[in-house]
Amino acid sequence: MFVTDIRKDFYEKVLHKRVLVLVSFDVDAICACKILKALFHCDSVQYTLVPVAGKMDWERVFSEHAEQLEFVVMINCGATLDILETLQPEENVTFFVCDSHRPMDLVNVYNDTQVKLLMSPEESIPKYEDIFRDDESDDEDDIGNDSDGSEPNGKRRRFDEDVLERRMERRRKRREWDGHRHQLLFDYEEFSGYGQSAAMIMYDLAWKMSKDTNDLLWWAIVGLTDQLLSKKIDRETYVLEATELNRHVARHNHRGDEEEDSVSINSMRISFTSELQLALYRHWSLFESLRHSSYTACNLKLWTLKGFKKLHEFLADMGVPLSECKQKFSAMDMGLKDNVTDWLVTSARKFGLEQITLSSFHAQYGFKNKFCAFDVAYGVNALLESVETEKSQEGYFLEALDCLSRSNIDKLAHGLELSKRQFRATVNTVQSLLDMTQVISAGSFLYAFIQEGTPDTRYFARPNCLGMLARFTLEAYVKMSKNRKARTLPLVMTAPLNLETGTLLVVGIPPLPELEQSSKNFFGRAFEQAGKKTSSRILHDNFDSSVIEMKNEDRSKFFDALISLLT
Amino acid sequence: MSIESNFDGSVGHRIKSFKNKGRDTEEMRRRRNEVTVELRKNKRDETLLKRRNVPNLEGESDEEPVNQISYHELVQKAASNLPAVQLPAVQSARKLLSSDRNPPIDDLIASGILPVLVECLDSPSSALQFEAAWALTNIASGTSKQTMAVVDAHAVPKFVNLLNSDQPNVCEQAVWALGNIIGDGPKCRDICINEGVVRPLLSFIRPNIPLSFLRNVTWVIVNLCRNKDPPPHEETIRELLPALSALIHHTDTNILVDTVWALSYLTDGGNEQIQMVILSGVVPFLVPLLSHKEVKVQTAALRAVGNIVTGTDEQTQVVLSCKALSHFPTLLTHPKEKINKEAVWFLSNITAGNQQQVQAVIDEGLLPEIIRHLDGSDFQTQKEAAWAISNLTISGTKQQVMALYDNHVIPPLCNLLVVKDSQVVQVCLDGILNILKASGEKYQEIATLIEMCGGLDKIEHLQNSENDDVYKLAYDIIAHYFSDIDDEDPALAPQVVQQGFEFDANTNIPSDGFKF
Amino acid sequence: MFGEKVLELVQELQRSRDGTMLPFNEDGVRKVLEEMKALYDQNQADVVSTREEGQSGLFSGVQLRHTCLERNQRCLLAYLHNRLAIIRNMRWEFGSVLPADVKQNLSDQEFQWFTKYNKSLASYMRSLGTGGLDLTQDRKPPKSLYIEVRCLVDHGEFETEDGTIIVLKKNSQHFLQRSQCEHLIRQGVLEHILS
Repeated sequence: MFVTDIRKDFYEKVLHKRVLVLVSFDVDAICACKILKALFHCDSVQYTLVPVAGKMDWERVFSEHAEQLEFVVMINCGATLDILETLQPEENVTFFVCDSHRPMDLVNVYNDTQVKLLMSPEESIPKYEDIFRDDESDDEDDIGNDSDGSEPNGKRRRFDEDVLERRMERRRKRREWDGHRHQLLFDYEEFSGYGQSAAMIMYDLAWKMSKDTNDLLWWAIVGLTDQLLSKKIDRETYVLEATELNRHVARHNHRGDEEEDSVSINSMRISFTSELQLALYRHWSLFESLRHSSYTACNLKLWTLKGFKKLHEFLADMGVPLSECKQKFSAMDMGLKDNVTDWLVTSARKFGLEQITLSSFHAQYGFKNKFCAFDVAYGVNALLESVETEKSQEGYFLEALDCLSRSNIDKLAHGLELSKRQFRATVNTVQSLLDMTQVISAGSFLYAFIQEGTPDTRYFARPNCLGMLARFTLEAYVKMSKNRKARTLPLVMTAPLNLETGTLLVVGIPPLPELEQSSKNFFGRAFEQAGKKTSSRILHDNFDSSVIEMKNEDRSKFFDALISLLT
Repeated sequence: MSIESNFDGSVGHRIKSFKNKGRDTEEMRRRRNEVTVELRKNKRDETLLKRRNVPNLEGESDEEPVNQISYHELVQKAASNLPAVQLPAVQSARKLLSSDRNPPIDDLIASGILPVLVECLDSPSSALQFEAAWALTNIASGTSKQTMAVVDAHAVPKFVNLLNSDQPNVCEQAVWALGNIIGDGPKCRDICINEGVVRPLLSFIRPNIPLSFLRNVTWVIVNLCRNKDPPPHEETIRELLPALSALIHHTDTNILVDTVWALSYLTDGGNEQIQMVILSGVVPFLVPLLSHKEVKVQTAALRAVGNIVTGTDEQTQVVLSCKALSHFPTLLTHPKEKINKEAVWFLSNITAGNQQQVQAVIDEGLLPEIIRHLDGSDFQTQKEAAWAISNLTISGTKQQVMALYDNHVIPPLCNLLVVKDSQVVQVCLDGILNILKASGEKYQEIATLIEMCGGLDKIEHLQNSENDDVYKLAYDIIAHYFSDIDDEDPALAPQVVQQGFEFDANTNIPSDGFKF
Repeated sequence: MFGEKVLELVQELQRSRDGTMLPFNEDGVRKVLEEMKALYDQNQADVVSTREEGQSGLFSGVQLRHTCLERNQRCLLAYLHNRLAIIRNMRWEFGSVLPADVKQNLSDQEFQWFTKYNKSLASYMRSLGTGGLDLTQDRKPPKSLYIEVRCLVDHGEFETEDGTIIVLKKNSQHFLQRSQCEHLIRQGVLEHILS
């Protein structure tokens, strides 16, 4: 069931108890987790925090910690899975789920006792009466001799005519209800998608308890930004939510009429501005940033020679010398640095890059540290999905968790460096995919297989990164392709996951968002069915159903099935 | 091969000593396992999703208001001499019993309605006969106790009498009532047979009989064939078979299903009954039903022919000669797991037959499918597949056994060695051992494969099994085929016999000892 | 050149600033003391001869030697003093039993000093509060009642005082009472996270 008062029904319930917190591997979850942690620290709520990469981890960790536990909080995991059925908990365990994955499992929605959802109810959820029926009067004798292939009854009672009629009628109604239910379920579960950011829900809780601070607000901003960057939500939703957050920003950060020095330079200040969609430009050079941001790279077609020349033209139009552009941004000439953003926006319009700006937030603390939310989201994600072998994946999760604290700026800086490497690998891979025409159309969708061999491929053994590559590739392909239909096609991409076990990571993304519709992803079900039909060895471990793992050998038959399924 | 079965037919019994190379083929055939399989329900197919932990807030569903009539009053009226009083009373009683839920059977019996109703069966009024028969039918549809109460009230002879009525609705109702009584168990069944129910029952099977009546008659025949402890008298079966042979041509699905179930019950009663069924000539019409468009018919037919092939080789051949195997490619790939399982069970009894029968299975191209089920399916189906394979390794020629190897049977066979069911493990070990034996000189290739797919580790582990048979088999396999002496020729290895090794008795031992 | 040997001692000390305890340079100290004695004797001789013979030109020599003597003294004292300071720190770091290799490097007197220091510290600590207080355990005062810790190794189940069982698996994080888990932090099982 949905909680109505998040403070009373959730926070106050766990206030003096111990909690198990399960967090999934994405930036929004990490931000939500930081906010919740801060609240728990305030109130000395004891907890155990464990990162979970997928369903198997989720089940395993629960069973390991289940003894004596009464409260479990799940962040960005659990809403889409039947919690009670899968985990088989004791009767006294309560689950609080704060998950942006959709669609929510209906058993979770309608359970009255153990599962509490912290999200808001949605209209698309079918009504209770249409899906569930209280068990009774089903086991009446059948009218026929037998039912569904089982043996004939030994004894049969003879009923009155009108009774017979009533029974027939009931049966008919029951069949109708079943059919309707089947349709409802099918429609409801057909597409997977995302709802409100978990970090924002946690921030909302903090605000309701008057415990919100700038730090918490910043984390909520990063969480929301991550949703935008991984295209889990569309621009419109982002703008709405960002406006909401801006109210809080204004509240915490109003300058007033006094001089700016009244607030210490070391405290965090957040401001709401119009930000360029150039990834990491402040921590990189302008040139590199233009080359590696998907918006500019795709619109200028930078993998072609012509596009490259256009880029130079663009820079020339801006009036910034090439040498400056290739300089580290922070080392750029002061006069240029202040104005470059304005010049960029003006020139952008001439080159078809109208949407180069987007409203976003920056945070500043101290003299050195000025970060924009986009960059922080990229950095945290890069840390989270780091492919270095020094630590385990959980180890990197904890690094990512740490880097959001102000005292760990060096970790964030490292994250930004990793992010640059990710971007370079992405752009190189997109370039080679397009050069060697490895993006193939199967009629109803596009697909591309990343082959092992280059050192870049190891970055894509991570779901968020592979997803980013997929989106970049799709955008680039669509811009390149003369085929008008390409705009409407979704994309499936595979990359080698583990050479020892011979598995692949497979990601399916919906087509580029059109103006009105938000992107709906049907690959969760499609993958499931294709896998079943071909008895392929696939693993639906990720909480996002459009990400699966598969054995190398099964790839071709799986894709054949997928093609026939979707045409 | 003698008809007499030395197989005791009870569940799960298996060969006592399979160390003997020659297994009695009759012993190898297995009756259907009585244990019902609980299939895991696919959550998506369940039409009822249980909402967990919800206190049941809704009250009891509304029941029909119980009329507080006195049952005794009703019984009294039903015993009245006045038709105007009697008929409505009996009708009320009938209505009470034919209402939707919870008929007050015990209450009515307690108020003494049974003798009254039975009396009505002799009435000159056919309307009264009809109502009384209907009421008694419904009483007899309840528990065994309730049915016995009807029998004890001497209803049976009167019902048999009513089969001669000139009112068809009365006949039909009597048929229905007798069906309920017969269906109670072998005792009641035999009581009815002794009262002479069979002849008049069968006489109803005429060309212009209404469909619902014929369905009832067929259903009663099913009940007559049903129980096998003891099975119906041979005489009765002989009477029923011609009817069944005729009914199997009927086009109505319900009648067809019931007919085939009746045949499946008959064929479940031992080789003599199987022979009777065969002699009735019904088998050529039974086999094509394996591919009937209705799943219910397929299920019943599969059961029936499956029972037949648990008989002798000749009896099995009768089924095979009707091209039964040609239906199996579809049956083995049927979406319903239960059908897969019964199909594999059927084939396991074919591979237990003679070499020609084994060859027929191979020729129909069924080995890959059986092995596919061995590899992964419901566990019960895998079990049947293990039997099928193992039986083949015993009855088949060397070539036929090697065909199993060629179809990649070794890895899935080895994979089953870790299950908890020791019977399955035994069967698999036996199969592996026999395949190795059949390969003769070329056993090394197979041994290597067993090792590579992890089977060797499992077999080694099984040497520690608590089960004697398992451990001995495992030991044998290791000793003969995986010992360090590579050039040990299995043909020279001592024969393995239950008590130990039997050394070649032909060596010449000087009669007065060795002299050095 | 006078004072060179003692300089070597001081340099030796400087080199061992990284925490290792070098053996007590008995030889070096002795040489320095010899030098000092030699200087002192010479100075005495010169003073006597000045007084008796009235030679004034020896004063600068005497002054020079005296300066050297003072320098030697100062350096020697520094050497001894710093070594003691290191030994004292070791008491706070390692506890009352020194590791064998460190013990080897101490002179007898230094070791005696260490034992006496130990005794003094122990009796002082005993005198605090009721039953004494081990000051060497926690040198920094805790900032909060509850702390966040990260588990570095798979430690298995851990029971706190009030009976709750916490499963300590690698890479899990926990928020609990400081007093419950301090010993695990010291053992290296848990790491204290300051956010």
